[in-house]
Amino acid sequence: MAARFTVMAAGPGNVAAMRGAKVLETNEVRGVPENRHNDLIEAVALRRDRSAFAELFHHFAPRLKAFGLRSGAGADAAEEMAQETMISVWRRAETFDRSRAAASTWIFTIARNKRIDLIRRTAKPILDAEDFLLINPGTVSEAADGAAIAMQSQEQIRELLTYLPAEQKLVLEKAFFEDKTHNVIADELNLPLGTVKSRIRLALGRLRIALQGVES
Amino acid sequence: MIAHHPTVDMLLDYSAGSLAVGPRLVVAAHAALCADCRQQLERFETVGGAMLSAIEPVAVSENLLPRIMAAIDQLPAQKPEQPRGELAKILPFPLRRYVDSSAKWRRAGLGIDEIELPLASQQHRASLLRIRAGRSMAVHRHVGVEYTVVLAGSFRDAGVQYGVGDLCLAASPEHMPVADASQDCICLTVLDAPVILTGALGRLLNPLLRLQHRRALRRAG
Repeated sequence: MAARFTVMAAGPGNVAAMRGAKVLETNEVRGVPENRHNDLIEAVALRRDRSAFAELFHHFAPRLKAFGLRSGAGADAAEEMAQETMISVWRRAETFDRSRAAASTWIFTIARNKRIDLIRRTAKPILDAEDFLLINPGTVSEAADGAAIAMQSQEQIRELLTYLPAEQKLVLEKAFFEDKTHNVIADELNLPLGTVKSRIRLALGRLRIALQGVES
Repeated sequence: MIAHHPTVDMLLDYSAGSLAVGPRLVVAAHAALCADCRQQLERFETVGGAMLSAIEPVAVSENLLPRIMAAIDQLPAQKPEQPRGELAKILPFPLRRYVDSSAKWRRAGLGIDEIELPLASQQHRASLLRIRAGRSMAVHRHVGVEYTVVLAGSFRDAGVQYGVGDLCLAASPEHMPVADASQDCICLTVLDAPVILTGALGRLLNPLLRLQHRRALRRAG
């Protein structure tokens, strides 16, 4: 709760709005507008703030479309996925908790679920209510603690991603963007399953270095 | 203390979105009870988030934002959650939406009751099972893999104890779980649907396989 009050006091409404452009620029230079995005999602949650939502849209919708395209969707379906994801961002903004996940992680889980729904075309969308990042904090019996540095970890991971060997990055991208299981990836790359698994493990091993902070 | 967890591959596939609906529910139910696995999922999802941030953006249609804004204006007011009855209260949150207040245990064997969950899947079937204290499931065979997450009580199978939150992954063809004597054991169980055979012989055999699958479910449940 304390964090949310801080946002109200120093959030996009006043201080940040005055310095908004500058803050954003500094962050963009570092490739890390996460903090700004956290503020924006909270502004949507607290005030149904449409300009905050539009700013989130301008950053995320083109990335979500790219994500949909990478999943094998056509341009229309990829936009539909982006649209459905952004609508869920609006609807579920209250469940966002910056101490549990960075904005892009939270949005990724929504987009991933939308992708599953759109691919399976089930009459009954199945997933949002099953994901703990997308339900109200407190519904899970034990709060996932220690994630206050979730954002920092995410920045580190993003940086480490750029240093991954191409072959490791490729299998990660196939797993996360293309909705492919280890078996399918092995088939596609014409590699033994063991090799795919070990590349994924190696990649995650490198990234987990950045994640260890979350544990302690 | 939870001792039996999903494999790292299952957690990773869950995070990436490639796990099938049935095992996905198993991981969700387990993770709702297991802080360690939640944390692990969160880590993998953080990787997904970082990759989403780093992806090369693709321009969207000019009218996409107005379209979304219009859709938001049309959204129905969010309804408060419907009361789902006593049973839902003891279930981990990912399972609650699958039962409503009309859900009733149906007898599925000696000392065993079942509620089938409406999983949107051709491939997997999900049920809640209640094994009365001290009773055992009949020895049963699986057509495929059976996933069981303990939600209340405990059971023993092949010399291993499974308590609340534990995931039992039974790929072995035969097993016989026995509920703890002190209380009823309630589990989520997800079973692979039978292999569908193709060809003339397959068409002949499939009804038999389906029957076997239903029987296996009934015995398991």
